[in-house]
Amino acid sequence: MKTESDTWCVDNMAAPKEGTVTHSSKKLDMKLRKLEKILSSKEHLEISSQPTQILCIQNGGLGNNVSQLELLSVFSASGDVSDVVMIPQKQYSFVSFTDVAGASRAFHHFNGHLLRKGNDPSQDVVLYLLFVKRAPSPLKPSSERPPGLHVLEDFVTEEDEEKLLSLVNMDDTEEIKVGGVMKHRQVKHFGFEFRYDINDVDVNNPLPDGIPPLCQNILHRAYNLGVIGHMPDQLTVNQYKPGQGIPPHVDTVDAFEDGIVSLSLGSQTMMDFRHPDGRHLLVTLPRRSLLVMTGESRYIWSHGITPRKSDIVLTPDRDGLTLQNRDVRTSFTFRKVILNRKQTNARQKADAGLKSVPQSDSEGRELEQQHVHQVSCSLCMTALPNTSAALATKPWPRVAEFLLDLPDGFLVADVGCGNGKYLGINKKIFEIGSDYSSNLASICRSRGFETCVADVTNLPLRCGVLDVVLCIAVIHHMSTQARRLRAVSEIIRVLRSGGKALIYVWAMEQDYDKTPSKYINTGRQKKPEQMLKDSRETVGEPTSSGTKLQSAELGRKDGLEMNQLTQKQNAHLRVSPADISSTAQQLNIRRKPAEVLEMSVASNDTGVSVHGVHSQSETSVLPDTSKTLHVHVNRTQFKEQDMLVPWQLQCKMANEDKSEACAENGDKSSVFHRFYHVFRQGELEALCKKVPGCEVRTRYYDQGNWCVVVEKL
Amino acid sequence: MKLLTHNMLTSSVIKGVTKGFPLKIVASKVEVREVDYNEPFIIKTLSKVDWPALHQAANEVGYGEDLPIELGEDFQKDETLLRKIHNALLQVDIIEGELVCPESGRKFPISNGIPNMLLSEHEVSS
Repeated sequence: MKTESDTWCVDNMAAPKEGTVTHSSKKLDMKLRKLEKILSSKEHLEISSQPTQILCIQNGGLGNNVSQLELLSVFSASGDVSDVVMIPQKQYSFVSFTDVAGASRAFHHFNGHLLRKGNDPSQDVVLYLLFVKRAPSPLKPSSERPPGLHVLEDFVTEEDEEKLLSLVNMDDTEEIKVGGVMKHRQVKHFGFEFRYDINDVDVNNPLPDGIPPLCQNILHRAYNLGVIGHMPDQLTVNQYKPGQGIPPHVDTVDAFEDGIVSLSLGSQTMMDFRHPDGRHLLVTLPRRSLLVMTGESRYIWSHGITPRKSDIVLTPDRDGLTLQNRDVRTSFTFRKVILNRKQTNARQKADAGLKSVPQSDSEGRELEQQHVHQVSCSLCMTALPNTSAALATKPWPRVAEFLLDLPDGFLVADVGCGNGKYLGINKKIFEIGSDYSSNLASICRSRGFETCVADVTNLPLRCGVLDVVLCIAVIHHMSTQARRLRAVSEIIRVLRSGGKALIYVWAMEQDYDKTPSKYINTGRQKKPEQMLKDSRETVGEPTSSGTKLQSAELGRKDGLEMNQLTQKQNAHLRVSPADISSTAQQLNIRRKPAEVLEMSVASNDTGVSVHGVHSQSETSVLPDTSKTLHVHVNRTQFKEQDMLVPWQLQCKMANEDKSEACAENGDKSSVFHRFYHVFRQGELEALCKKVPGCEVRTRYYDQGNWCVVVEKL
Repeated sequence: MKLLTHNMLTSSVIKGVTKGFPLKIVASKVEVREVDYNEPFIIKTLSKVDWPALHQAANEVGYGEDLPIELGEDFQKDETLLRKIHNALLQVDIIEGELVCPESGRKFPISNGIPNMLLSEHEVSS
């Protein structure tokens, strides 16, 4: 990833020797001043002009592939290091010393220091140091737990712990390899071997050694307590040395039953649980405790262990927090293998892409959870570092025009605001952005906008408080008619009488008025930058490249409706192709390659759907009860209203841990299917008219979208 | 989260909750960030603000002592007061803490300045 911070070390690439300070002091001063400006404005770090005990280490972060251990070994030379705080995906970290003198020595000695990263000079980084007033608090255990998760403390005695550990002599195991990458921990299997190449067990090939009898007794106790509904038949023993971890993953859904249990022996650890919506909880697993993951915590939340040498844990009296070093931890993870693989449940069907159009509200919620929220979360997590500003470059002109026309002092909510590209266009109104994804909300917040995490079908806003609601490209993600209706009702509820809402949804008709939309059009032009989409908006939006062409087209299309203001605004918002291609590089998000799509279009004009099922050419507005959701072929005409649109995420693996995570998850993580319900002509108005007090004032077609301005009576 | 945002938030979508307003603020980290003073904006916004809720919220986070319990008729001419209101509405920023539903006690975390108002399916009245 090419980022701003990398450019600071470009001129240091002439391969000086490790540790060389490469700058004249004047040049270094200039660099530090520039860095200070960026870190304080964009990252909100509190840089101190006076020496403090804490240093921010630019280019020494997880985002640069630098480890906590590497920093510790470098900075211990200057003094007593009390803490090294690493932040996921950031290119900086924080090193705290026990005294200011140590930090000052490091500041003078290591500013401009070249850190060698092995034999490949392109991996080398130059460290820049600034004093900061405070480092972010190190990760503390959360009191909240994911639903379905239990930690049973002191589940085995010290005596049993010793016996269990003697059952497995980990010294004779070899470090396993996944896809040629060495894992950082040692494993041993009983009952069935878990094969990391296929992320599954071979059910026809059980191991000679079943689960040891001592373990059976322990499992019986868990079973009798009712925390698991079956007796496990597979055991994986993992050994983690201090500083080793496991990347976030969900245990293979179709290989194991619900209810996964894990004993922690020899040492405590801290497990990271992450929900696709961005929630992140840290759960302490004390030594000799039993972890039980069921339901949501087993299927929806990922779990992993951040490689650290210590954990923040509660003190024995549970009053305060203390730092506890990690020792060698051996985990016994017990799972029940699904032997009859023909039994498919809804979740497995979903994995195979065979999901049905939802019929009920809860089915709808579940589908959106997996095929809307989880996708935006994944896209956004990959896209996060340093791209937030670049993401917000392409507002649709007519939406911007609508916003600029609003009177000063209006209160506006942008529901489903994504990365906030419509926030801040009109500086004289007060706007609140809301999004279901907390990652997207964080992007908006980091850009200085008021944001909350909320669901458009349950807006946390007072009735009648808003002058205007913006709802752009949101309602087409609602998977049932009732949920789409609910979204419009909520928008109307929060508007004052006479208040207006602008709603955009993706249109079924992509060649309305005999003009193919950009979405259809761009598939034939092999400009890679035109395939770039931001992390929220997937479809139908005007691409920002070739802005002359775009303006000309819009001008023709909108005729007299396009006033000078729009043109001015449009010109103001132009982005150079160079910006876009660098953004594309940063994001690495692309549509499926145009070439492949063109082949599909050329060979099969009726569209291609999964598993050889041809999509129906016509469908009614009301969903057919038995209808399967098909996967849409990008840049072709829509064949159906409800579908999954594939997204390809070319995630460059910054480190081996990530590729390991992909391997463990069956490497499905690079293609996402996002649910869309595309609207037919007239459908959006019909939907709005069903909501009492909602009057449609304007309707139009804008670049593959149906749009309305509605007013609350 | 600014107090103007807070003034619009409610937990009324929770099952069994009728008003859900104002949400009580329990703040553990509050910052004051400078925002340009715009008198017409403040006056216009005050017509939409629920004053008792703002008064209560400002007091909960420690910036309410100069605000009157009721807004007098001549407040538009009192620039000193308007500047204090400007500070409370737009400059005070709740960074960490939680919002508490006045009826159900349901807590909504505020983290990094962002309140998380998501509810689970079973908490919501349909």
